[in-house]
Amino acid sequence: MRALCWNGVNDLRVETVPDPVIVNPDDVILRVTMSTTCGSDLHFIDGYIPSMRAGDVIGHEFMGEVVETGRDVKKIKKGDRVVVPSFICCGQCWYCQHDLWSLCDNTNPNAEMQSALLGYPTAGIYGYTHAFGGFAGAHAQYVRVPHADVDCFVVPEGLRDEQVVFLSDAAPTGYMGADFCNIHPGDTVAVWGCGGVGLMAQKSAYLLGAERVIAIDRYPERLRAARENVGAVTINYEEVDSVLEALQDMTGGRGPDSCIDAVGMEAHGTGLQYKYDRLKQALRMETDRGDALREAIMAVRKGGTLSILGVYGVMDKFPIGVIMNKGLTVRTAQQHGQKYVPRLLQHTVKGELDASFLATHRMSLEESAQGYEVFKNKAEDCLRVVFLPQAA
Amino acid sequence: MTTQVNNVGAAERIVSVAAGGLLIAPLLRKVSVVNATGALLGLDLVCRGVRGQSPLYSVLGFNTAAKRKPGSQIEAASPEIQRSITIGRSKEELYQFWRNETNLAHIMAHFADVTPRTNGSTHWRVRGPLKQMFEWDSQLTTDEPGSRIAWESLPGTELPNRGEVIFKDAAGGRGSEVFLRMQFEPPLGAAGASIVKALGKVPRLIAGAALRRFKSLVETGELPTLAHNPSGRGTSDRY
Repeated sequence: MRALCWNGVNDLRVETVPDPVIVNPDDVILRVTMSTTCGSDLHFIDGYIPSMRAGDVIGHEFMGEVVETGRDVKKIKKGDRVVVPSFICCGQCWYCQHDLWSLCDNTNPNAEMQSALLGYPTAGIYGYTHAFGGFAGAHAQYVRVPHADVDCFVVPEGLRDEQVVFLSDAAPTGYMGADFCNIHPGDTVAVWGCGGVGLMAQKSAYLLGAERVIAIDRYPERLRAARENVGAVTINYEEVDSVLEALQDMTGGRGPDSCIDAVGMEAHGTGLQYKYDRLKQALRMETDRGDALREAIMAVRKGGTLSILGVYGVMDKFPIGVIMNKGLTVRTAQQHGQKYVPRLLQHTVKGELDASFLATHRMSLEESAQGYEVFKNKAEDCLRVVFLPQAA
Repeated sequence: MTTQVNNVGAAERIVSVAAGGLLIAPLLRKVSVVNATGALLGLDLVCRGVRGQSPLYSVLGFNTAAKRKPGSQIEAASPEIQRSITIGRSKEELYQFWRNETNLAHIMAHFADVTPRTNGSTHWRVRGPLKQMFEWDSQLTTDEPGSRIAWESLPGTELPNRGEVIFKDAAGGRGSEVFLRMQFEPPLGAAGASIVKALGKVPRLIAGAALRRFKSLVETGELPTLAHNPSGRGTSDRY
């Protein structure tokens, strides 16, 4: 089959690789009909997250049609059109049974390697480094999906692929971030970042009852998407003297009840500390990314909630004293998608959520390496590129 | 003190005599509580150095000279690994699963081929760090249904070893806590011990992986795997 492979830093190529096969009895093989870029992919494309290997098939946000089922798969049938969360979850362990899906104990073949980094292992992910399992990704014509009865969600009729594909990751991640905020009537939620996850977090905050959502970014077209597609109030941080003061002025001096960080930063080990500091000086975007989280910590009201969705490595100058003295609640996780996909499908069926506006670019799989270039550079007002692996 | 066993290792005995002497000599000049305590400590050091016995160690229950347990070929001082995991099943269920020979072979398959012998013992084949093969037969030394299984290699192997798995209830309906202990007598004595040391955490990773495999097999009926994993490198990944 054809698949998009990582071959080194900034070296993506579409190659012919072996087809996936059923390995375990709970597996299915999916014919991928649509997949999409994710900002977190840029971390390893840029070489900041370790344990990629040349030849790895990437891509973790996808949907498709079931073409083959393992002997123990009961609910999911051949021919089903399904969307699959990016984390692979067994459904049986303590974490899955407590809705902490991305912490599943039983799906990371490289758990011992990852424990050295985190103390304990997370679940495996499709196409996202060997520390996170090493599973082949979904920017491919076919993908093997383990634990299919737990991880495949049948798509209701009448929905287009563009409305559904983001329910694999961007939408449940954003929804989880808003859910962490424990939103009450009258609440103001501020969201740093207007990429796919940030926009979904903003939309979800409204779905969960926020009075007002404030979106913060610097790209005019992304801020426009926040206003027009979500209904958020926006702040272009390049056009205000102080985001903190702007937020205080908008909230009668109280500050937002909750702040969501949907920005993240490139992961750095401690050995790369000096490089990190140089990068902070050299690349304005990097500085801004580091600043976003600190800014959110300063801006959130006393006793409020800080919800972190951005992907981080080891961060220096983290103002824990501000968090402590203001009595903040910090909630964070990789997405617990299996908890949220069913209700997001319902919101979509009811017309309350239409994530298809994220798909600003459509490309064939053969064009996917260029697709990542457009996405990475935010060229042509790109929010997300969707790939059509079955298109010629 | 005459009935006491030696509980101080050889190197520590030499250091003890020297340190004890240095501690006592100046304290004998002046009498005080502090000096008396120091002198007693010094006396203990000299005593343990000369006789290999430390009254202080026996009070505290320490022993740095322990050799083999009765009937065992394994030096007590050989490197021992312990790893633990919590599995959402009862002790009895886990015990039964581990005692099944086919299951045990699955659990250990990442580092050993484990096959049952007709005489009740179990045959192990392990590829060593320098690609050499180690083989041994092991026999159960303890079999307590629902709580503990222990085994030890039979005489004649170049890599004597023993292991045990212990099952305990986990609090709050979390299932069971499982402890895996493995101890290997390194080949070539001291040189082998330094090889084992050089391997660092590898034996710990092997034991940890065995427990994770055990858990996944019990909880999900399968193992997470990269077998036949598509990539530009071909298939069947192992990082």
